[in-house]
Amino acid sequence: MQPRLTRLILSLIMTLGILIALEIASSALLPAFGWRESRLAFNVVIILFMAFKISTPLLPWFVMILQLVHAGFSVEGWALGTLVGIFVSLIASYLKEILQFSTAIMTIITVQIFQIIWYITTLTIISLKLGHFNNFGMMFWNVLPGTFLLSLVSPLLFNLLNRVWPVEMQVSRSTGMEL
Amino acid sequence: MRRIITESSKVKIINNLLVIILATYGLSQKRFDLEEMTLFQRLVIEVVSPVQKGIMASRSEILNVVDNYFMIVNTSKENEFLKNKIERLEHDLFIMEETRRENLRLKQMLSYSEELGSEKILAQVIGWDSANQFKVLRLNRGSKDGITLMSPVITNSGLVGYIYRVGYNYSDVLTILDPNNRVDAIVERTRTHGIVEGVFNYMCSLKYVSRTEPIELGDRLITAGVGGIYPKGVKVGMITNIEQESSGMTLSVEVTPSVDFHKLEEVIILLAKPQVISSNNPTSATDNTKGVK
Repeated sequence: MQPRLTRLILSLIMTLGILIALEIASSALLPAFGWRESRLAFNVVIILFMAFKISTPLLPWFVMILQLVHAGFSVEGWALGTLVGIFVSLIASYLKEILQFSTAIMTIITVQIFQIIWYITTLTIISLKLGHFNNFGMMFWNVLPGTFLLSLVSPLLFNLLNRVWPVEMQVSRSTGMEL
Repeated sequence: MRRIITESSKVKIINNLLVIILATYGLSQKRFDLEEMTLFQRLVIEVVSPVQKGIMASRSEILNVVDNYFMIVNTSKENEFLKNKIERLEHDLFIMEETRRENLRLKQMLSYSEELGSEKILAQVIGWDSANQFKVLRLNRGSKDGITLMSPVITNSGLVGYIYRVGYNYSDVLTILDPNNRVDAIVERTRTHGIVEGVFNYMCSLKYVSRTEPIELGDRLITAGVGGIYPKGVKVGMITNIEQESSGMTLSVEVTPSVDFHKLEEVIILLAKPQVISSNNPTSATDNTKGVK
């Protein structure tokens, strides 16, 4: 149990490192070279990867930790992304058996569909907080180009994260905890 | 096996519920128009912002390397010396030209800010918000420089926004492109009042303008100076489209901001009096920031 949990924590730390590097690229490197139209929300793809491939009861806490780090780069904060992340991971857990990541094109399509679910949920919550849905369409239109690009790079990112996370985890019989 | 799966499911459900409760509480406390940083956020920002700052600072160096160095990798040795020399000179020239332009921009901004009379601090843009839903930029100045919440941020071209959250060395600006930032503005020519709101795509809209107002394309908008955040008379933008709404008494007015946010590098922060955020009194900000509470 202990080494497996240690492995999970190690994977999480490495993922946080990857997230910080990608957030810096998205918030500083790309804008420095003129790309200011659309931000690439790498935190979303990383959380989607974990929702699709990591089976552990600690997943909601991992999502929260990732979002806490993301909050350092965005005024979005941690809470909204955490709620949406858990919602999306619950959907993914029901669809796990039919989701396929054997080819790059399947990964791209799946990630794109789940990103759309993510943003519809996020923008609905933001609109509810705003008290009106006037900007819903505009906000959705604004995030769409970024989601396409992220879907295109998702096979590469998934490949990287496959090396970081022990994706073939099984149920631990001794503790009843999926790791 | 059944017992194991059930126990595992129980743990899963408990974890999910705990995090959902925490996140729901966090979301209920969240404000999109003003925020006081938590210790963890301060820590993350203090650690990562120097990297963002470094990237922005070395931008010209990297561009120079990309433009000049990689292109001459395959040239013959005979020309290498001369090309290197030219490259060095070009690099020096490039740096000088960048410095000259920066000086010019800063001089223009300083002379403009003199007119405003309040205490000000020059700051550099070092990053943009990593989420698409928010139009926020990060500056290399923080509370140690005297920056306080809700300090207005401008350039010589016009209004940028206000300080949304402050760290020790860095601060975030909620720009006028963000729908959560609402600016009380007037049309310079007709003195018509309205509220400028961000609508993404680097555009804004002017709201609550009556159909009977004689505004025209090309009219300039300036801050009204009410609400206590922005000084009066700062340029906000220009009217670039007017449409009559199919229903209602108001016009749909598109505004192009005076500031070119694509090319924003330096800004002026006008120092404001410290604001106290109270969760019991979410409207403590001011009446012209009627964003999300």
